[in-house]
Parts: sequence; structure tokens; C-alpha cells
Amino acid sequence: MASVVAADLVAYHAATQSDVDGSTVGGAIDTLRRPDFTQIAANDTIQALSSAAGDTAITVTMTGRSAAGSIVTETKTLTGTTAITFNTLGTVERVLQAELSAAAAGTITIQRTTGAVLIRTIPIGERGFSAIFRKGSSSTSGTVTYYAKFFTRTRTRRTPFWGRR
Amino acid sequence: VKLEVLQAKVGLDGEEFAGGVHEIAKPTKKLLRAAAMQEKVGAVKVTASKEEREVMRAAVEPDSESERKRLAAMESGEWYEANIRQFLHDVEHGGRETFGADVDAGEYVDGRKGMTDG
Repeated sequence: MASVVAADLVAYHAATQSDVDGSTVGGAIDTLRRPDFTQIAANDTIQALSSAAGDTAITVTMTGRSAAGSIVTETKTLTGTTAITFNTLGTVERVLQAELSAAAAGTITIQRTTGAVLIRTIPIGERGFSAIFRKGSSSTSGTVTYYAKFFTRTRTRRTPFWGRR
Repeated sequence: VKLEVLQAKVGLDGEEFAGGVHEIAKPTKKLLRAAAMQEKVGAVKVTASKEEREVMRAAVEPDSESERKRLAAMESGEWYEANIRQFLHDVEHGGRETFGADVDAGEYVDGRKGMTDG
């Protein structure tokens, strides 16, 4: 049996995620959606492509926050190994969510247009990734909001991790 | 179909809608499929006929079917290929730390094929 390495530790969302402040979060592990990805280092447009040429029926729904602060979402159909660019989404200041309509036949790559810098891969069978509190807003009166996510190692049962900000 | 766009703007596979209510008399299946995903992520509220709703329902795979595919990809090793690629990227960009010997991607995948957490 292979020894455990850091790559075996994987974070997943809880089944009920936070989209805005004040919503209930938690529940079972959601092994189809991840809470971790590399945020873009500079404003840019976003692209998606598959490692499988046959991925031409699945849609990708990308959500981002524009440089002006507004939230924009775009759904586009994959074109296999040819990258699609989310033109309606436009240039975003940050990526908030990527969600597939179905598990793809290939590994999906979400990347910046400039330099094709990887934001995240979506492994076969998984459906996407997202930030926590992605549509939340800051408060001058101060609030405490909670989220739940799971850390798991392959072939192990998992226990939830509760955090707060 | 009626779309209530709950944010500044959405793109539905080639068509763009600003925040507010939009009535579309003869929506294409492509638009309905995109609307289904926009509804799923909470960007729009959709009021649809029974027939339109059926097209939307078929456009989003149930999580249980995706989970079956995920376990199959773990069995074949393809899931691990994507996982190690992401891990090495995260390490390279400072998002994660690794200790001890460097991970060999080929050995990582070969050593884990067939292992599932289901």
C-alpha cells in the first residue's frame, strides 16, 4: 500500500454551503465540490477546457466578481480540448465559483487567459469548486460567520472541520 | 420562460441578460439548459412551463451519478492524475507545503489506482 503523502489530503465542501451571510451551512461531506483553488493574481478573463475531445455537451457555469464589484455569472458549453473564454463574465477581479452541469469524461482545467495560469483542475467525476461566503458582504457593525468543510484522506472516514471568521 | 436575474448580469451560452425580469416567448433548449445551471448556482429565478422544466431538469446530472463516475475515475487512476497535478501546482505557487521527499506524479498515480473512498 502506498504511503500517505500531503497530496492525499483533500478538502471538500459540506453538502449545504454558504452563499451569503446568515444562511445555514453544514451537513454531510460533498465529495463533488472543493473549497480550494488558486485565486487569480491580477484581473483577467477566464477560460475552461477539457482533456477529453468528447466533452462537448457539458456546460461550465463560472461566477466572478468584476473589477467594479458586481457579481457576474456565465454558463457556456465546453468544446472539448479547445479552450472557451467566458466573454460575458469578462475581466474579473476574483473567481468565486465553477460548476459543471455533469461529471466530465476528461479532467477540466479552469485557467486565466493570460499565460494560461491554472486556477484549478476539476478531476473526472467531480462537479466544481467555489469560495466560501462568495456573495457575502462586509459589515461595519461586525459579524461572526461560520463555515464547514471536510478534510479527507483517501480510504479514510472523514470528520468535519468547523471554522469561523 | 421567465427569468429573474438576481445579480448585475448573466450569460446564458451566448445570450446576455442584465439584472431584472426577462420574459422569453420561445426559449431554445440551449437557453433552458443554461438557465437550469444559473438557477442551480442562485443567479436567476426561473418560472417555466412543465415542458421547459423537463428540459431544465435533464440538463443537470444528479450528484449520485457524478459520484459513481468519481469512484470509477479513482479505480482507473484518472482522478489521482488530476489530484496530483493540482497538488504540484499548489506547492509551486505557495498554496500548500510538502515535507520530505518530492512526490513523483507517476508513482503517486500508480500506487493509488483502484483505491476509492466510497
